[in-house]
Amino acid sequence: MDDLPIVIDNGSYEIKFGVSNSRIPFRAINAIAKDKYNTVYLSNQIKGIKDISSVNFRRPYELGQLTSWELESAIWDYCFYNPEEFDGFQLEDTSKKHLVISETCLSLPEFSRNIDHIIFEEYNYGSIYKSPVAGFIPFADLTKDVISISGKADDDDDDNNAKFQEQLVTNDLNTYISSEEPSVTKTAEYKDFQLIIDSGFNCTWIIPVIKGIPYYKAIKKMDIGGRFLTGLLKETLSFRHYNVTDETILVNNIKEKCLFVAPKSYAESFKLKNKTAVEYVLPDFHTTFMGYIKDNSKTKLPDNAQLITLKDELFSVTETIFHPEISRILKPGIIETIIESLSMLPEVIRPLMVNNIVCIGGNFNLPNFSKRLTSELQRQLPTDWTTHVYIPKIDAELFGWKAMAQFSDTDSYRKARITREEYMEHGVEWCTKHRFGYQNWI
Amino acid sequence: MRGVEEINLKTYDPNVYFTSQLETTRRVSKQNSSNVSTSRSIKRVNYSLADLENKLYQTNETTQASTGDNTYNKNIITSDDPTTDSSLYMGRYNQNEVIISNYRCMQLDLENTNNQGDLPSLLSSITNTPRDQIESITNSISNNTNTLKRNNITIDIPKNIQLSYKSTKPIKPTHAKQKRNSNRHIALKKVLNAKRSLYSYVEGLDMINKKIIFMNTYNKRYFKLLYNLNICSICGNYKNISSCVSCGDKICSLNCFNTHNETRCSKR
Ligand SMILES: [Zn+2]
Ligand SMILES: [Zn+2]
Repeated sequence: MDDLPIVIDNGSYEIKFGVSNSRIPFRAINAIAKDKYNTVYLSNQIKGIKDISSVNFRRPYELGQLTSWELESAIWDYCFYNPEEFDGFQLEDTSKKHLVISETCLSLPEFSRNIDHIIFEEYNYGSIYKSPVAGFIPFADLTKDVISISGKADDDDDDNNAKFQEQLVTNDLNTYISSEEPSVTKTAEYKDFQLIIDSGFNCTWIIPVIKGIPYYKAIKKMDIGGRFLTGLLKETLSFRHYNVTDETILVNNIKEKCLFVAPKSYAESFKLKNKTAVEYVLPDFHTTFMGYIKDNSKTKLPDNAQLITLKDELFSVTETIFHPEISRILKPGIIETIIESLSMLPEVIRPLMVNNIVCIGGNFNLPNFSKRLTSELQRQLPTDWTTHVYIPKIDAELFGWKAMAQFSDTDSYRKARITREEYMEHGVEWCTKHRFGYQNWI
Repeated sequence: MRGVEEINLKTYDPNVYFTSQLETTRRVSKQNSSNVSTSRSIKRVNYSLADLENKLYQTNETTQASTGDNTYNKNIITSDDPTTDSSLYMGRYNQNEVIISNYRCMQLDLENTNNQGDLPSLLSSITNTPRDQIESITNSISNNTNTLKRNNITIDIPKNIQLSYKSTKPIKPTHAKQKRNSNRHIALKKVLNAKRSLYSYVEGLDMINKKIIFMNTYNKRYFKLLYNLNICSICGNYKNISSCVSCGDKICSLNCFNTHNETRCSKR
């Protein structure tokens, strides 16, 4: 019965799913949408919308909490019984299948119970293991496709990137030891101490994970995620250029294609704003539906093309992550949030945690985000602590799924999953209170 | 240089963490210059990870609190336990300012900007602030600005939505041992058909879980480590910033002030 588990990272923006031995997961938009002609689109059908103006979204998640199974089950069906869209993938006899799934950190207990309930009784899985994404990250392979950034500089050369030494990780603690003397210590299945920064669609989480378990007392959250950044970009563009408050898809695309984080400081980037300016060609719905960045070397634009020139917008919106006050939000920024989380940890492990930070989630695809974070954080810490950040080379939004897939190949996993029989015996309340929910650890 | 140092491979015990952090006077928020001189005098200790782990997960609340040494940073760790989210900012911002900020944050955070739903109720349930208080404060602002046309669009899930693609879902029930009218089955249907919004679930939460999920996850007291960045609301400039006397927006020059007056000033 032990065939490969199905792995689902059930994000509020996008579901990442697939068999655990796949290199990358399938992805499905976790929403339905309605265009201005009142046609409704399900999940990835949204990508086929031609007239993208005035498209409205509805998601199974509200503020990161999975509230609507009516909608989520329709989207899951689209994912699991739709081989035409997902390269032949489909679920067959689920009663013999194992499932590894993520859930929002600090889900309401009721929502947490609902997930187990649905998985066992609507989708009939044979076993389940569930955790916030951060709980899987210690199992991730940090030696492949991961960049590591140190906050300690070789300050000597004052060149562009003097502040950072960037290298592929080859010498983290575990692999170092095992390669030197393989007989003495066996490579551990997971890293003991990590500080996970998960910046996704809904918000940004700071989650210390100790021996594979989120340390709930010190978990902190900042209400700035991908959805907020798109909203703020909408407001900024609407004040300066055209009213785009109803253009979610367009603005989200501009965000993904053009925005970056000021690498050193806002002031520095502001001085260079004309150099880094971008001209974005807006959709005319004949030659382009989504718009694109103007490329001066390429062919001429159509005669009536509408352009917007983006300068400081490109980095002022993302600067809100560090300085929420610039968008009139009186909340702490990401550095203050991390420091608060650290201050809730036992003092002795604080330097260890800042030395083992892992950044995941789609917002870390923003150029310079992790570098800036590293240097800003280092500046606030005692000089003999070293900030050390691991960041996926590409596709930061997929890293969680990959870690989950790696976890599903460990003995820890095989011991921890809950079988259908256990569920039937103990019931849904038990799963949340004694196994998967935060209540088990608080 | 790594923070984890001096691992002797011969004696390495994976269950021991080596640290040089013994000094209790260290403070995080001070500028690092003040720490430079102390960084050489380091005592080194090793801790049993198993003990640490026990302390972390198996002790009760009070002993856990004492493991986080309170000399760490008095500015940050406070003993007060705020019962409402707003007390977080007390001393720095008044409650109205905090409510306006929270409300603005939520508005910007909407995926469908013109589709506001019932933000005051949601904000009220999450922050434990009375709903009318939020409404009266936020109404007084939105009366002065151009009120957006709000068409609250609802998107219903079309019946037979599975016909919009080539569904291979087997016809249920595949494992039909369950009786159709069993309690379990009824409960399942209830979950699958639920149409409530988040606000109503939060209302139903007990105070302890509400605090754990929605309050303790935010910083307990307002503090700022990075400098205060002000940028012009018109041109993005960061120098010579002053505020509009009527509405408080940040302005850098006469030019920008004029533009602001003509277009954005909410008190014009
Ligand atoms: Zn200006
Ligand atoms: Zn004004």
